[in-house]
Amino acid sequence: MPAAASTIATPRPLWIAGAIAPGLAIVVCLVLYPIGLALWVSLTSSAGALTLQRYIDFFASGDSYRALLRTLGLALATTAASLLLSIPLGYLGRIPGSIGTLVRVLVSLPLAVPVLIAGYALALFYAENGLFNNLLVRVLHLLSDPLLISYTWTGLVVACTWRFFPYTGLLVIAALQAIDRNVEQAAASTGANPWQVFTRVTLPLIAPAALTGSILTFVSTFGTFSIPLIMGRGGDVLSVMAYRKVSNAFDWPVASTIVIVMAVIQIAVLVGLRRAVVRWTRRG
Amino acid sequence: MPPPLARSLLGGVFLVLFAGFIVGPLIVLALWSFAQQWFWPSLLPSAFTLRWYEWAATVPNVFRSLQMSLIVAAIVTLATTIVSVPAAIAIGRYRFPGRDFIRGLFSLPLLVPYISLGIGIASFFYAARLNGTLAAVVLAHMIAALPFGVLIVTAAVEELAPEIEEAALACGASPSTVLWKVMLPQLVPALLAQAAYVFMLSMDEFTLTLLVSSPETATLPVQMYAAMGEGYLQISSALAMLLLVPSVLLSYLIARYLRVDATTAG
Repeated sequence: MPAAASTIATPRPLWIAGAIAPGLAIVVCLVLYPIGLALWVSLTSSAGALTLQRYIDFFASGDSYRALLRTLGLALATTAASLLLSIPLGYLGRIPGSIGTLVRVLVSLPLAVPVLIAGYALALFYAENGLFNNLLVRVLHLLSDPLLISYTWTGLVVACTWRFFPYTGLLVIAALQAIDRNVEQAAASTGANPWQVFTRVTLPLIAPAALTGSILTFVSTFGTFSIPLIMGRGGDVLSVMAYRKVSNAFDWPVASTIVIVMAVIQIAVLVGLRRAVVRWTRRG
Repeated sequence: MPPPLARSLLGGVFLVLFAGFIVGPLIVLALWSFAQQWFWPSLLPSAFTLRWYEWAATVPNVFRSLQMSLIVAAIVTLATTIVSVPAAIAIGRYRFPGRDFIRGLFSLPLLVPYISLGIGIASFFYAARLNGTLAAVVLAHMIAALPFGVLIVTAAVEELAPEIEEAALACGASPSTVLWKVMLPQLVPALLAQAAYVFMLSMDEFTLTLLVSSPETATLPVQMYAAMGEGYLQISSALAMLLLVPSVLLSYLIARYLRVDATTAG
């Protein structure tokens, strides 16, 4: 019955519009409008004239410039640490049987932990007199003095790695599992040493997945608020700085400028690097 | 190439260290929540107690925040389902001009950092005198939930075979019968996954809630943050466990039975 089939293929446009409208209204009113509002506030002076002065102030001020560098450094260090952690895990994760399963369960566990709680649990674990230091100093006698990790920049990197490395880890594990082992074995049997097999065969095959995961880890760390709010006593990252501008001083224009800078950087990373991944995958 | 024994030993050591890295912080959190007292240099708490949980259940602020979290999560789950299912069916089933653009619009909240959304919404709600109300908290959570709601259900709709719907129409079923009796029953697993995921996201949401709630509408994560600021380790750990345990269980159930890979950033 062609008439019936065409009902599926071409529903009334009004029905489609009605189905999408509520969701679209929410996105327009509560995402586009507020972001647009923040953009507008950041581009106008207190007298109401259009100006770039707030952005000039942002980059000229030592505080916000340092916060920008601290945020980018945190995101880069976390991304690098995640990648270094993910590659050996990828090899362990593709072991058939219970070891592989255990690795995959452990890697995905942090994703189930709310970010705020992750920050708190890691701050407790790595506290100066916490369990980690207790084990190193008093049980294993590896160190004479406790390490200062919680509430330092290093602690931030550790906590962000704990919570955000699974994006990289899970993709690298999946990519390594998908590799045909015969390819690696062929390279080994024709005289390549393990390092050459890794750099010339395995690494190019997992690179797109590793890069995609790294983008997710980078972006999550760059925008994270809860972990540095709890852990970051040694100086604020951009997200916490924006929050403090609002909660301490009701300084919406400066807070808006900070979050617009953040949004622009994040969109540039997502759009720019994703394009690189696509190009890379096509070439490979 | 190192001998296999050395390699598996190396792998074993790495795996043990990695397990400690992942599980250690969660174990410490659990220990703190049950600790009577825990002083350096003792390795473990000297005595265990349930009093922090009893305390959490009886203090009005905490109890109210838990109540608020559950009410908000229930409303957000229901509202997000009602909004995202029709949109997902339209996007997943039909071709129409601007479809990809609209699909992209629904993912927009994932494109910018949460704090950017949060500052934008808070200043909008502040100007509209909505800040601190239940509606503000619900709407903020819906923005966070909507991309996932639409994404999960759209993916499920695209999996459905249109031939089944065409067959039902050919047999004389009306379009609304096809929707209610043919499409929706097939979508039940995806709808459950979507609801569970959105409920969990709402229970755990902190960044946006901190910016748009008042003490009267503070949810459990916001209350936990306040307790952390007061420095009572046991109390904030117990509150954290109240959020952590259901979140881990629900994630496990979603992954195990509903097969949705949902990951979130915050």
